Amino acid sequence: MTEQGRKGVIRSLGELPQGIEPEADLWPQIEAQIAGRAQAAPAETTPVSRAASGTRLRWLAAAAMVGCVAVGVWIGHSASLGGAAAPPLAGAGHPGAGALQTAWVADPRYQRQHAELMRSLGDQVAALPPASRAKVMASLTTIREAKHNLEEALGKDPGNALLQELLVNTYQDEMRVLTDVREASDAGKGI
Amino acid sequence: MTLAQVESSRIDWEGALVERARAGDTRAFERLYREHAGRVYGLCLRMTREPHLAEDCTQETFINAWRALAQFETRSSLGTWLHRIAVNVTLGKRRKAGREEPLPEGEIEEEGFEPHWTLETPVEVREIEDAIGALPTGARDALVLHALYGYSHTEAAQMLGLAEGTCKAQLHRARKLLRERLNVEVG
Amino acid sequence: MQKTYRMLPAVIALLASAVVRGSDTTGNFEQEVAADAKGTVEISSTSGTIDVTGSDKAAVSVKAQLGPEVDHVEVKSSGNHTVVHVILKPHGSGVFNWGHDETHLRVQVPKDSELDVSGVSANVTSSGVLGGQRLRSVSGDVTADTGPNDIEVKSVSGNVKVRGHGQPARLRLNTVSGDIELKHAAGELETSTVSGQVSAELDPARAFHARSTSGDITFEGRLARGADVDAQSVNGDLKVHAASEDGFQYELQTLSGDISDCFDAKAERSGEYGPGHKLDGTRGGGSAHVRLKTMSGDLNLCDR
Repeated sequence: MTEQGRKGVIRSLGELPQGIEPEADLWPQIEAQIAGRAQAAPAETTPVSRAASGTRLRWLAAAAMVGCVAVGVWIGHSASLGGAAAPPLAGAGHPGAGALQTAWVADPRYQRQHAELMRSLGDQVAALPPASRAKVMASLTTIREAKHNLEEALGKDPGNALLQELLVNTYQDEMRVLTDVREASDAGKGI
Repeated sequence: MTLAQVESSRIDWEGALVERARAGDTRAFERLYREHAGRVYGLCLRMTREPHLAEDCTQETFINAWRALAQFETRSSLGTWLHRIAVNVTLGKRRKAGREEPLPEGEIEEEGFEPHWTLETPVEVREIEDAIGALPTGARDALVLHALYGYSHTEAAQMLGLAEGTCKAQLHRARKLLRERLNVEVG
Repeated sequence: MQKTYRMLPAVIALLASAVVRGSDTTGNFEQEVAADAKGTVEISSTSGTIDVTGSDKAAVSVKAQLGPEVDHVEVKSSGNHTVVHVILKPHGSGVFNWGHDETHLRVQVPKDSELDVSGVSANVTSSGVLGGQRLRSVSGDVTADTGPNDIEVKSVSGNVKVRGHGQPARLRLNTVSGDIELKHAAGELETSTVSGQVSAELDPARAFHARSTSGDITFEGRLARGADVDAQSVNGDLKVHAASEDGFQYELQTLSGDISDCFDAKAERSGEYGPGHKLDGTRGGGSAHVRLKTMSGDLNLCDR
């Protein structure tokens, strides 16, 4: 049934609009009530179930997994990238650190998945249509450069929440691209 | 992609928001609120007939839904679940205010007749809404859930805490009263 | 004579199967099957074009110009599920000869169908389909009209162009390196690209979530009450021009880019010692939320 306006004539009760927007925005009061319980929610709710299905790397599941590393947590270089040693942690003496907690974490699941995708990247790109190959490699280079620039900036300002958030997102984006390439190359091989 | 997979991807979209809300993400819950507020308020307004009361019912519905998110099964319809909560909230407020009506005597529709709630001639929306609003509470509740929101007799009866036969009796009553008020055959 | 008549059905069958299997010399293929008016239709082809149009007929009809690598076209309907698959001849080497096979597929489907289309280097277009759509191509462009139902479009290197008709829907548009363009849409959009440009119009918008690494993101529209706008790019510029009757709260942050707006609010430094600028505030009733974040891109926000 559609959400039509409340004017005009109708020939059946089913044509009446189901949705009617309240005059006032009720969300602020609702949010005020639930916000107090939001902090307790993780302890009260059942464990979040994974959306991924089977062993097939769905791009949303990959992004969600990387997202579990959490904003505000420092993500380490991927071993498969042979990355340089991590920049120093936010020191207590660094005035920009603010209240953010930073820690050095290299999530093992992320490391494993990333390494697996990187290992087979060459074959997967080769299986893509020619029009895609150069563009995909260029995009992966763009992401790598972005990661490098963000990490360099974070090295100078480790407590910067904006940079941390953008870096987490860039890692997620890289996983999404690698997963998309894998799916796309499977599509090509399946013909 | 099979139909089940299509349905599944549609539910996944909302399911992903529900999962985030369960983990305490109020922003995700706000998106669910924005998606469903209209239908919840629409139901509350038609059951209560008072905008302020309908707003209270809507707020309480979403607050209760937030608290009960752990019990919601993501495979089923969030909209239906919210409506169930809304009906409970509305009936609860009615009980507190002492506005419950006695159930009608058991006039039942002719066996096998299932109205489609069509009108012999077109009627203005305002006129229909006023006519529905003027129905006795029980008849209005059953009519709104069944004819406007598409719930089956069984579902509507369960939501209202009635026997299915009583729910059908209320619908029969609603049809008769609408016919009289609108002076139009309701088929 | 009798022998001739007895052979006739076999001859007819042979001719019919030749047309169905696309093995005639012209490479033309045509077939129609009855289909559920609200069923699912699944279409796949490797390269060339896939054009899908919605119609009032309860049937899926396929017309194709087949490339030389095509073995046959599978068109079958079972229950409320119809499939159209272009099947290629097997390759001994396991490597497909890109660029030497182009199949042009035109498919008419019932307009309320749920559509699932996948191509590899095929350009995909869809119009007049009102049911949910899932359209994917690896290197081809995807162009679609969308109705009031969800649409998901994914391309690795192709461009994505979607046109709405003002009916609220949930849209998910993603590419790796292509551009994304959305016009005349309403509802919710989640979109991402690494290096492509994103340009979106939503009126009204319930949610707009966009990510790019180096591409620019532009959003124009009208925000519904409580709408959520969240755009992030590492190096791209972000521009949001969004009217809103109930106003919005905004939060803009950039490390080395510029911030500008049309309501004379002045950005301030993010911190006493580090680089970066931010701009926070509220317009009108502050019902919606707008968050724009970039490392080196410029940010521009306007509420009209």
